[in-house]
Amino acid sequence: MSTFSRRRLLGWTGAGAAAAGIGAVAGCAAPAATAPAQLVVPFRGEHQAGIVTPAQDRLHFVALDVLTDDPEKLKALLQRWTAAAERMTAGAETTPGGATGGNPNSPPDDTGEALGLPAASLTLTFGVGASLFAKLGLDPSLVPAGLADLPPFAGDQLDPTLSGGDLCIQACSDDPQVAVHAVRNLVRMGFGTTAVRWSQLGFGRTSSTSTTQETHRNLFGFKDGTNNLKAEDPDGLRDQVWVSPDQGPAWLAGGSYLVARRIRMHIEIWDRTSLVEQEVIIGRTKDRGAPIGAAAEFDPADFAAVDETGAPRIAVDAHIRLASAEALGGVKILRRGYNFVDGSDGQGHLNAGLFFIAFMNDPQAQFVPMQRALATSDVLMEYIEHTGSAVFACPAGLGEGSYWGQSLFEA
Amino acid sequence: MSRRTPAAVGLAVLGLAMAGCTSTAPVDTGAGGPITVAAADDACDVSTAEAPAGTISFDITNGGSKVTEFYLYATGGRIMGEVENIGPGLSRQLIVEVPEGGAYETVCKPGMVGDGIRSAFTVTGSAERSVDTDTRLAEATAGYARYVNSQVEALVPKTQEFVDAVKAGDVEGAKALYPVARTYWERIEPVAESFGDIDPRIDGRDDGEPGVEFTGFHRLERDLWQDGLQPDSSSIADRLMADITELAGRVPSVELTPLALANGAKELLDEVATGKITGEEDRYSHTDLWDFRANIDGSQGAIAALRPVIDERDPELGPLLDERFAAVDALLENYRDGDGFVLYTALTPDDVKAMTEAVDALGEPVSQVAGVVSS
Amino acid sequence: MLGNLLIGLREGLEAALVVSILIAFLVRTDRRSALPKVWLGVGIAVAISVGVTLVLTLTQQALTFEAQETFGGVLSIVAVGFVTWMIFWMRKAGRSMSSELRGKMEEALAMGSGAVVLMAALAVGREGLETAFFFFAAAQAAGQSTEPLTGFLLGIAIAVAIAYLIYRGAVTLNMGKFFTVTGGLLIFVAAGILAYGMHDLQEAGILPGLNTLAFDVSAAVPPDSWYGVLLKGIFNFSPATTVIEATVWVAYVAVVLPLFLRPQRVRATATA
Repeated sequence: MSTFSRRRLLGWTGAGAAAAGIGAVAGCAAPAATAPAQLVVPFRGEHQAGIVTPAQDRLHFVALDVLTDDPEKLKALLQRWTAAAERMTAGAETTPGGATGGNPNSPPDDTGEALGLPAASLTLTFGVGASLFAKLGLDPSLVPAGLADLPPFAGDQLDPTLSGGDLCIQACSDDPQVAVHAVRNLVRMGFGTTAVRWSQLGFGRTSSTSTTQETHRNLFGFKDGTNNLKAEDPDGLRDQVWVSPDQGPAWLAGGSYLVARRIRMHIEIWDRTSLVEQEVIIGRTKDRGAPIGAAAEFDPADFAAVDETGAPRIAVDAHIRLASAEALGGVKILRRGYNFVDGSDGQGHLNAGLFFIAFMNDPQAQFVPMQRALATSDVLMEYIEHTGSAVFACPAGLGEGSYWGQSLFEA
Repeated sequence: MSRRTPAAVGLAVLGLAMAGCTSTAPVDTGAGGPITVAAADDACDVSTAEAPAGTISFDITNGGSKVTEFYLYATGGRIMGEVENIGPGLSRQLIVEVPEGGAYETVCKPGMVGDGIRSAFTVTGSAERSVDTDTRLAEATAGYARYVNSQVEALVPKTQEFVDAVKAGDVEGAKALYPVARTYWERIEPVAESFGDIDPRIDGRDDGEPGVEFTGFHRLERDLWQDGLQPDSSSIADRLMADITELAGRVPSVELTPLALANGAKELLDEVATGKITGEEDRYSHTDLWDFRANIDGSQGAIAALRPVIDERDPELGPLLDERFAAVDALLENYRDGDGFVLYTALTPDDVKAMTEAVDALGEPVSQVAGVVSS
Repeated sequence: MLGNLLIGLREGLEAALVVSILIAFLVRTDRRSALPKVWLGVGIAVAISVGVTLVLTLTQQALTFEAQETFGGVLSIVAVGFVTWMIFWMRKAGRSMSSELRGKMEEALAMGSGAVVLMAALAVGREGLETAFFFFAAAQAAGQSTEPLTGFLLGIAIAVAIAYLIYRGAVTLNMGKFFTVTGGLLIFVAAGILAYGMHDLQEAGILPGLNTLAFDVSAAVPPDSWYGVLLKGIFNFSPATTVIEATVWVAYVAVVLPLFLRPQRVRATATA
């Protein structure tokens, strides 16, 4: 029997009026600042949410180590995780009444800091690292080729405690509290089976993953990821992001590789650099983000153009030239990075930078040549160092009733 | 047939109808809300597979083309609730009172035939308490009281030995006795902490707070390991012995409840996590692992006393506790050194991380015990 | 659309069938004056069903499952009592008619007006609550789609039309046949209602054996097929019948049918 509320009673007579109202409002664009907070991103679908989902404003990324060698134990946790994740992405507690509705003498199931907050576009994206397979004694044929170790790059200062991991969960939301709540509760559910290896908070998405989004700026003050792959480019996503069945292994078909790099920026030094030099290094103007020599952000960069002295307008070692698909034989990736400021470094500087996240279907053929070109020639390298690195394989989206990693554990 | 019969029957019908009422006012489940069921000709998607015992409401929407029915079955096929005639495109509600936790099944029957589309549904929480349980709980507290008394009976003479060594100026002997005497103290720490006045005198640390005198075990620890014996070390030792004796006299009066046991078991792990693993407890002697071991012993003692009740109410929790306690035990054994343990200073960050992970893993199930014994 | 139509048809038939036979009987025995009492009974049943539903929704209460099933089960069994009484009352009437004791007719048919009201009310009210709940669910869905409501109302309309046809068919029979046919029909209807009531009580957990089936012909007679709906609506036939249901059905028919068909003994005076 349904609750027969007065509101719904009014609805019968009011439906027509409401429809007319919607018609009247449809002409106005909704203010972007208020609408997204209410959004619920579907948890299940062909691909995992949080990859081509229009990039939310906040990130909490966690890499976990698995403490058991029993795949069944991990499977049980993944099933519980999936149920909780699905509830949280819908704006609900991890369990019904989990924050305050349980036994008062028990610790609440849900930690409660997201009570009353909407879903705020929360997406939770799950991936597995190369180290998981041997740990659980999984068939080596299941290890995806794309999880091969990244080679060392010039200038890397990788900290092992900020790198790697058996599993990852990427939580993105428009509300930092919602993202943190999600990671915190999943971590808690995992105690005894998983433990946090490292985690990263991020803000101010630096890439747009949809043509509906403005390009944000990184902490160097430049628009970043203008030429990113976009959700509205299905062919590009198919060719560059989604793992195709013939790339193997079967359990990863329709999934993608997540490459994460924690890039510390020496912002204090950058800030002492003249505007013209900043623009030359990046290859774009700072005000509009237009390629040097062009007028607007989305104008194509003319890498062949030369100035009156015959020198290339866009410097040979400019960041956008080195990272461009033209320079890399057509390679593109889907960038989804976030800025971070993790307090200070104890030496008078902010511990700040870019938490680079990118999705692709062949890291060795896509990320490696791009990073190698940047690491060896990019002037920007003087201002940054990579301090953390990890690669994860994110399976395809979940069908009804399936759980995170099911395709792998029931392969 | 009297003329009044219809009216009487009408009233009886109303009375009967109202007698079996249950409130459908929205229960405040935070962001949870009612459980939604998306039914179709070949699907029955229940938004959650778990709910707390009590009144559970399902909102079933039939998105298929066949008429469907929705049932909640208990074990053995007993119907807890059903709603029939959910026509295509309709939403109907099932509100069902489930007093007992356990395994249930949600079922949609598209076309109103057959076994339907079934999925497991867990109800958490528990039933009314039995007299039998009260007996078990009483046995648990009595058993734990015996454990506490046995620890106190060893604490008094061991502390006496330690104090005597300090007063005799036997620094090496006192250093060897210090972690041993503390073991009995740390095992019953939650009970000792219930005496808010004694605990700081015996186990206070030097936090430099003005006006607070630094006495007890840790003051003597500082003298033995760092400053050398001081002129007042002997009197501090005497006061420690007097405090321990007073504690021993007061312990039998402590009101032990099953809830206090369960919370004590959890507090001991909190002590480990915040004091021992960090090396803060024994900052001069670095004998933190002795205290770590003793805290775990005490937690195990409380859990063991409660075990019959735990097993009766949550058959899965006991084995999980066993497994996690065993993991901590095994980890600690790696750091054994003769009768004692290696010093905290010998631990690497990786060692500490492994300990943190093991204690986190144990802390979660231990934190569930209070709810289980009090439900 | 069709699913909701069949629900309306089934629920409508269950309510309308007994009422139509009752009306046919009253019409055949020249007691049209009692017809308003029938409509009063129907009205009371509808009012109580809608009233209870409204009160429950507005006070945000719901019937517990057990209460709802017990309610339906008990009312069904009470209804069987009344229908049985009506069957024998009709038999007596038939006898009076055929034995041409017309003078005794009034006396013989002196059925309390309360009984007519109650009979109609029980016939309709037995499934009234479920129907009212369903109606509200369909009405609420009308916000998104009016199909469920339209289908349901159409089903009710068809049920009323069928009931009317049964009534027309019945009143055109000759007197002797009329009583035998309608009485016989009612025996099977009543047996079905009794079995249905037992099933409700089994579901409520008052009676055991819910999953002990006597037979299951769901495959041959799907409950959502038109013939399944007609069988359920008229005879309360359930494709999956429990042993208790089958037992009470057989027992009822075995006791009542021979009593109903036993040879008429013509007596000088008719007793009421």
